[in-house]
This record gives sequence, C-alpha cells and structure tokens, in this order.
Amino acid sequence: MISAMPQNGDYPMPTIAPSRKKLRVVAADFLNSLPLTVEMAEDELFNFEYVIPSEGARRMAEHEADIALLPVAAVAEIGGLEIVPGPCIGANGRVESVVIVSQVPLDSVQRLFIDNASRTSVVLAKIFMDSVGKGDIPFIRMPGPEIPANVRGGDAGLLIADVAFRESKQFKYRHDLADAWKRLTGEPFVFAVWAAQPGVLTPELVERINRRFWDGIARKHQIIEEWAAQQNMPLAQVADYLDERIQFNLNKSAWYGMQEFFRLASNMRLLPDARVEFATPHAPQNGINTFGKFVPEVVPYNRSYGVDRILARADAGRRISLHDAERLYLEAELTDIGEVANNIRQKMNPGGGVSYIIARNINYTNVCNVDCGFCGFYRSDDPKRKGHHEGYVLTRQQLREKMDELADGDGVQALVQGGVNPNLPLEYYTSLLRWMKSEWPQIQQNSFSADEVLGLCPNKTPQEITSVLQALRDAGLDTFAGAGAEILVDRVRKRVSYKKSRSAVWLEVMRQVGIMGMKASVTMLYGMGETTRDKFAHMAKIRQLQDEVSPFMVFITWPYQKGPGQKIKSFDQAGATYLRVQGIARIFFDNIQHIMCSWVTQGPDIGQTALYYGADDFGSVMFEENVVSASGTTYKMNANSMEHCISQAGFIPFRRKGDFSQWDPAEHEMLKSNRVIAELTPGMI
Amino acid sequence: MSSKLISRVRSLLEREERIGVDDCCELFQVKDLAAVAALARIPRERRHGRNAHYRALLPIRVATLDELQLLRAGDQRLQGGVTGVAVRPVGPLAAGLDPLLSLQSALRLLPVPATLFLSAGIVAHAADGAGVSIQETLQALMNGGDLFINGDGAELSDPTFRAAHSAGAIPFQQWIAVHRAAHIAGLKTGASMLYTVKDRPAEYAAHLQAIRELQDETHGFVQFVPMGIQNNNVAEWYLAAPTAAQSLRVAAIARMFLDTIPHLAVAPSLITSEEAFVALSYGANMIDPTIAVDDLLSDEAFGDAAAAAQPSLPVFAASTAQQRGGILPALIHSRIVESRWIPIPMDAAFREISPATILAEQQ
Repeated sequence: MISAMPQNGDYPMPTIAPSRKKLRVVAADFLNSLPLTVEMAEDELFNFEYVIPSEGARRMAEHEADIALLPVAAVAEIGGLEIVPGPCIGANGRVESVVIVSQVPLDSVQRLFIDNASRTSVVLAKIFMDSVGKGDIPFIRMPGPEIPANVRGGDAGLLIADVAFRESKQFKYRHDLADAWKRLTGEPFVFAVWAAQPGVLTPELVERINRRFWDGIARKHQIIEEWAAQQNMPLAQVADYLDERIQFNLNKSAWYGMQEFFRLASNMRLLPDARVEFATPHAPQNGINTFGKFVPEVVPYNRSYGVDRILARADAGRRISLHDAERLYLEAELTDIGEVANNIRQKMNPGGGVSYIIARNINYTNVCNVDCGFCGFYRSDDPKRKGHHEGYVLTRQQLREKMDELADGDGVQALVQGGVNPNLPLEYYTSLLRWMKSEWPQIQQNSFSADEVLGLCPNKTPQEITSVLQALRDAGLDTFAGAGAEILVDRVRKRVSYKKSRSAVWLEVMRQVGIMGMKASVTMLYGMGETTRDKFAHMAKIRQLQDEVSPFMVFITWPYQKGPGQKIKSFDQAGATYLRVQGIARIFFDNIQHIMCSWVTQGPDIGQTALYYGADDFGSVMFEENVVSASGTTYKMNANSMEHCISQAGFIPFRRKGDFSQWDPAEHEMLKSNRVIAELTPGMI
Repeated sequence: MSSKLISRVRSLLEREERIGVDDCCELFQVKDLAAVAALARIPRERRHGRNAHYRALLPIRVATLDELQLLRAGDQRLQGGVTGVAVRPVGPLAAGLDPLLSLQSALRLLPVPATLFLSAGIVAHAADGAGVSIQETLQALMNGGDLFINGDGAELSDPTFRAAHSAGAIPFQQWIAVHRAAHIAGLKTGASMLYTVKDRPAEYAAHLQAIRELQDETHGFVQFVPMGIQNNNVAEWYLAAPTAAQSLRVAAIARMFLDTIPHLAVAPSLITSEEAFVALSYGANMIDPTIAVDDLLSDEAFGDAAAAAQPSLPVFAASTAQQRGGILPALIHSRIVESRWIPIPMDAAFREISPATILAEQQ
C-alpha cells in the first residue's frame, strides 16, 4: 500500500454531482497498477477497494462493482463493459513480468506449466505457443510459486509477476511474452484497463479518472521507493519496470494491440468474441479528446451488436460472453436460440444420437444440517426441529432391495445421494461404496454432492477435500454427481441456503475433482429470485473451471419448484424459460460435451422439446426419485417411453453408461458375473 | 429434398403466396422442427407481431341448470382474472333446442358475461330434434344470447379415420354445412383438426384444405385449433397421445397453410400448459383455455388400457391432474410475458379487452 499524499491543487478536479451512493471501484494492488489506482483510492467519490484480479472480475460479473481495473481477458469474458479511454497497463516490448522459461529450446518443449491466476497471461501464452507451432502441447495447471522448481527436461513454465522477476534468470531459455507479442503483431500488449458497467461513465467521470491517473503517474517515484522497500526488491529493478517496461497510455497503437489480442483469442476459441467499447466523454475532435489522447471511433453497443450477430458468431464456433448470454436470454427469439443450440449440439455430438441411462437415485439419508430453503426433502438432525422424527438412514437391507431392483432392470448407474448427515463418518461412505461395488460390479457409482464431501471436511482445505475424494474414489466412486451448485453467486446462496457452501468452496471441490482426473456432472437450479445476470455468472464460473481442470461431463438445469412447506418463492417457471436457459447453456458451454434435459421436472413434453434446444441426453429412467417429487412433481418414464419420445423427435435413442459411452450388454453380463454377496446383519447401515 | 422444400415454402410465404396441399403434406414429414418453426414465424409475425392472445374465460361444463347456482353466488372460480364464462352444455342440456334455449335464459342471470359454446354436432342434433333447419336453429340460438360455435367435431375429414375413431361424430360434410350456415348467419366460428400419435400427412393436408376452402368461401372462421387425441386402443400408454414435437409441428404447418384464419390457438388442456406457451414460437398466437378437454381426455377416456399397462408410470395422469385444475387468465398472462410475448386478453367474441382486471389479479 502506498502512503497518502495531500490533494494536488494545481488544477480543478472535474466536479461531479453528488450521487446517492459512492461508486464501487476495485483494482489489484500490483506494482504496475498503482499509478492508476493510488489516487483513485484516495478520492472521496469512490468506495475504493483493493482486491485480487479474479475477485475484481467476479464483482463486475455479479454487478457488485461499478468500475474495475480489469485484466483484458475478464473484459472479454464478461462482455458489455465500457472502457475508460486514456490509461491502461500495457507493454510496448519487453515487460519481464510475463515470461515462458525452459531449459531446452522451444522446439523441444513437451509441456507447459501455467498459473491460472492470470487468465490474460495464459491466453497470451497459448497464442504465443500456437504461433511457434507448439499450440497442441498440454498446459498443466500449477500454483505459480511451484512452477520454477518443476521446470526441467522438456517442460516449460509460465512465470508471472514476482515469480518472473525472481526466478526467470536461472533458466537458459526465456521468452518475454509482451516482447513476443510485439514481434508477432507490431503492437503493444495491453494487460488491463479501467472498465465500467454500462451507463456508469459520464464525461465528467472519465475526465476525473484520467486526472487521477495523471496524478498517480506524478507519484511514480514515491511508488517505486515505497514498493522496493516493502517488497525488498532492488530499487533499480522496480524503477526500470515502471519507467521502462510498462506502458500506461492506451494510445492508438495499444488499442489496435488489444483488438488484435481479442481477435486472435476469439479465433482460437480462448475468449468470447469481444468487442471493445470506449466511453466517449465528448465527441472527439479529429480523433483527439480533451487530453490529447486517441479515442477510437465508437459505435454504441446495442446498435452494433445485435442478438442475431451473437447467435451467428456462436453458430460459427465463437465463444459468447456473459453479457452476450444475458442478452440472448432477454432479447433473442426462442426458436433462434434453439436452432443455434441444435447446430452446436450436432457439432459436439454428431450423428443425431440421444442417449439415456438406466439408473436410479438412492437417497440413503434425508437427515441434513444445511437447511436449504428450497428443499422439501430433508429432515433436520436437530431434535427440536419439526419433522426430525421423520429422518432416516437406509439400512443395508433396504439398500440391497433398491440395488437389486436396479440390477434386475439392467441398470448401470446408482446415484447415491442424501442430506449432509453429521452423524455419518467417512468410513460409512467408503464401506457403502465398497459393498455396492463388490455386490453389483456392473453398476457404476455416480454419487454424492460437494456439500456431502464438505460435511466430511472440518477445515474445508483443498488437501482435506482431495483426501476425502481420494478415499471415496478408492472405495469405488466412479463419477462425482456434483449436485448442489444451485446458483454459484453468494448473494443468492446466502438467501436461499445460508449454511450451504459458498460458491468458491463448491468450485474448489470441483477443482479438486478435476485435478484428480475424475469426472462430474454440474447443475443449475434457477428460479429462486436470482437476477438474469446471476444465472449467467453461474455459468461463467463453471465454464472457467472447465477451462482450467475439465471436471464436467454434462450440464443439467431446471427451475426450482416450490412445494408445500418450502420457504423460497419460485420464479421463472415457464417451460419456454426452461428451453431458453438450456439452449443458451448449450451455446455458452463450448467446453462441456453433454447437455441433459430435465424431463423429471419439466415433464415428457418439454423434455422432448428440449432435444431441439441442445440436449443430447434424456437422463435416466426413473425407478425412484424423492427430492424433486417432494415438491409435488410426479413425472416418471420407462425406457420404452423415452425411446419413443426421442425417436418421435427425429433423433436416434441409445442406452449409455455413466461415462456417456454406449452400453454394451455383453460387458454388462461379464461384470455381473463378478458379484460377491455379503452377509448382512439386521438393521445394519 | 427437405432443404428444397423449405426454401420453396419460405419463398412462397415471404411473397405472401399460398402453400399447396403437396407442400403441406411434405412439411409434415420434415424432421427439422426448427426449420418448420422458422417458416411458421413468417405468417405468424406478419399477422400478429409479438402479440399473444388469450381468452380470459372460465370454461365450464353444465349438465343441469342447478349447476349454475354456484356461479350465481359468486363462485371462487371467477377469480384469477376471469372476465366471463364459456359454458358447454352436456347430457340433457345438450339434447335439443329447448334445453339449449332454457340454458341461455339461465345464463343471462349470471354475474359475468356468459357465452354458450356449442359444437356443430349439438347444433345439428338440436335442429334434427326440433324438426327445423340448421339456419333456423342457429337464428333461435343467436336470438337467445351470446353464442360461439367451436371447432369440436371436425375430427379428420378422412372417412376411414372417422369410421374408425370418430363414429359418434356427425359426418364431415354436415360439420362443414353447419359452419357454413353459421358464417352466412353472421356468426364467427372455430375450426379444428384431430391429430394422433401416428403421423397422417395426407389426411392432415386434405383436412386443412377442406377448412381453407370453406374459409375462402365464407371468411367465417376466426380460430383454428389443432387437437391431439388420445388413443385408448394401445397397450403401451406412452403411444396413446401425440408427443410435443408432433403438436408443435402441426401448429406450425397449420399456421402456414391456413393463411386466412386469424387465430391459430392451442389448448393448454390438450398439450400441457407449458407446451402451449412454447407453441407461441411455433406459429400459434393464441392460448385458449376454453377448448374443453373433458370430452376427449376424461379419466374414463384415458382408459383402463393405459392404466393397466403402466400403473406405476402416471405421466399422463399427472398432466391430466394439471388440466383438471385449469389455468387461470392471470397465470396465462404472466406466462405469456415470461415467454417474451405481449399478452392480449380477449372475450368470447374475440374482442380485445382491457388487461386491467387480469393484472389486478396478478397483484
């Protein structure tokens, strides 16, 4: 943190009419951002906060900030933001803080270790590696500080910020990515810009931000001295970095560089099809604004970028941003969404096949201490609470009956899921899985939610989560059901399910699932009063995690349905809304292969129609379902009716296994023959 | 073949020209529902833009005059934005001109506007029973109060189909004759077509052609309703009714073919209420809760065969329960808004009415 300076009184600061609320401004307190932020932080007009870049992006995505100093990748991912002309964090050549290092020439590099903390740098690294013919090597995620120690042999590492400063010189080969960008495009590279929510920026505000920026530049030497002292870095190195390496002006050349970055990243399907929008404080005179800075010609967003264009670009394989998804939800014609979703579905799952599975839900316990306001299934473990006496844990005998019934119907998957029962230790789950695996080896286990796992992790650390997941996998867990995502926006989660894991924790469980190489399903429960933006902020978080560690095989969404005794009011209940949400999900998730329709909640009619809205999987026949039906929904289908629905819609039905591969009866019989029947004692759980 | 057909039909629709019977027949065989929907949007949006109409009426069946007592006393069912009732006589009240006229007299005493909804079959039987002409019967009923001849009983024009599935209905030519007479008398009426789980492209095209020909002659049809029908004579319950894909396709093609009938309506009671709102994107412009389901899809009609085949899989039982609960105008209004259309409430005579009552109920 840089110490405050007295207000510079050389020139009058643009006055801004007092608003009811201070504008919420966030930025990272990195060395290169301080000239842009140090004065903003002291401005009474702003409610300013230093946060890490991912948190800044989250706040902008979820409308919890008005203005942010955002990495350009986040600008593209969110979409629809306005950029403040004037300042930026860029580099016109060597920058030294974003470097690919190795001990062998690039030609010999086999893998690249990356730090996902900086998405912009990772995208830049992918563009660079592609430009040198190494775009197809695996990119392995790793915490930044651990990368240097792991770079040896044919491995390379992407070093960022302090790690790059400290460690890059020990490697024989170093490729400065900003320098490489300059060589590739002839333009500077822009790392971050001030971005604002649409409608926030006024001419006066833009001018004020620019004044604050120039005041910050005037304090550069103070920043250099204090940073060097605080971080124990050589003064000369810090000074060289800020004075020589970083370009702070978003000039014409930098603007072209940023456009080129967006274009290449979009072409490579790394970022949504972004279009840079500048706030124009005043009509530029001959391309020059009041600061003598270049201001590009601007076409207002809504006129230039209709939903037809979003759909056309998506149809051509481009990523859509969070803002694009929001606009499709609000503005696009339903059948237009369906058409593009169906085209994308055909590209991702060609052949016109629609899968379904013979599986059953087994709700081993309804005892739960999470108290979700939207759940009609659970019973509290608190004896003082209503319905406590209806709590249960199924005995092994009861479970055997259900599993036998599933096996008799040629079932291939059990979805064992229950409440977060504080009375059941990890050993209960591992024992259960081992028993099920030995007695029904042909049935795959696609079980448990993130919160059930977290219930077994007192400290909720990544190591603890991994340890529990590892134990479950060793005991026979094939895939992770991954339910309980609801809406991954904490403002919503706190309201509908105060005790449930916060979104970052839920995502951390799934991150560990991905790192372990396991696969999971991912869901969205909408219609609980969340905003449109919340729905797609949820999807954006899932897509980003999928980019990082690919845990998800399939996405399923459905609306919350209020049943008797449920506290949360329901919204967005129309079947048309369901089709709209699912269709946009197919368009949005260019990195999740399968979309499952939810006929269980929507009924066979909307379920079948959903096949025209991107779904390539019809889900499971229903032996038993207790959670949704607790809200009053009673739809059930068997395999024949599913096949009829699918083929009537013009698709080809096929039975699948838990991993979405085609079911093989011969393999099924062979696995069945390995059955080992255990002896059970009465009442055993 | 299908892409040539699609582009030919698109070209015709964009030029506001008619599609032929052969095109219609081929369209029923196109599996690409999105392409069919895109075609249907051309005439749908040309005629209605973003408007989605609905009739803010409570549909009731009445077998005796005593059953109107509740309504006179301010029945709870008249809440939820209901601005009138659509009364369908059954049993003794439907058996002759005199009972119908006495029912009309009783309807005048109700606290809300009431319209007598009759099928062509009831009108024909009433005329037969009274020994008067169709024209005289219609005139008597028009003098007796508000009257709407709905599309019931059109079934499918194909004689083989009628013999097998609609033996109780009046012959199709007689159905046409009743509607022609009504149109000449100045009544606007509805038309319909049955469709089944088994696709019948040629029969559908011929039926639609017959409807279009009468409309060209009289311009008296104000509404067309496709009606999916249960078939109780199958062992597999899920083969009993058309699927959603079939319903949407029929709505879309009917919209294209019947270019001179103003309203293409869907019945929430026949295709599940949620699918009805989806149909607004597939050529339909109207949600009509007055298209009563009971005659076609009562528990009895649903049948023992279906129940016995899959007693533990009550899909249609669930949707029937939903139908029985009905769908109130306020809910229709809000669902139309949620589905991104502009709701336009209408009365029994297809006149636009103020949405104020319905909106007040939503508050």
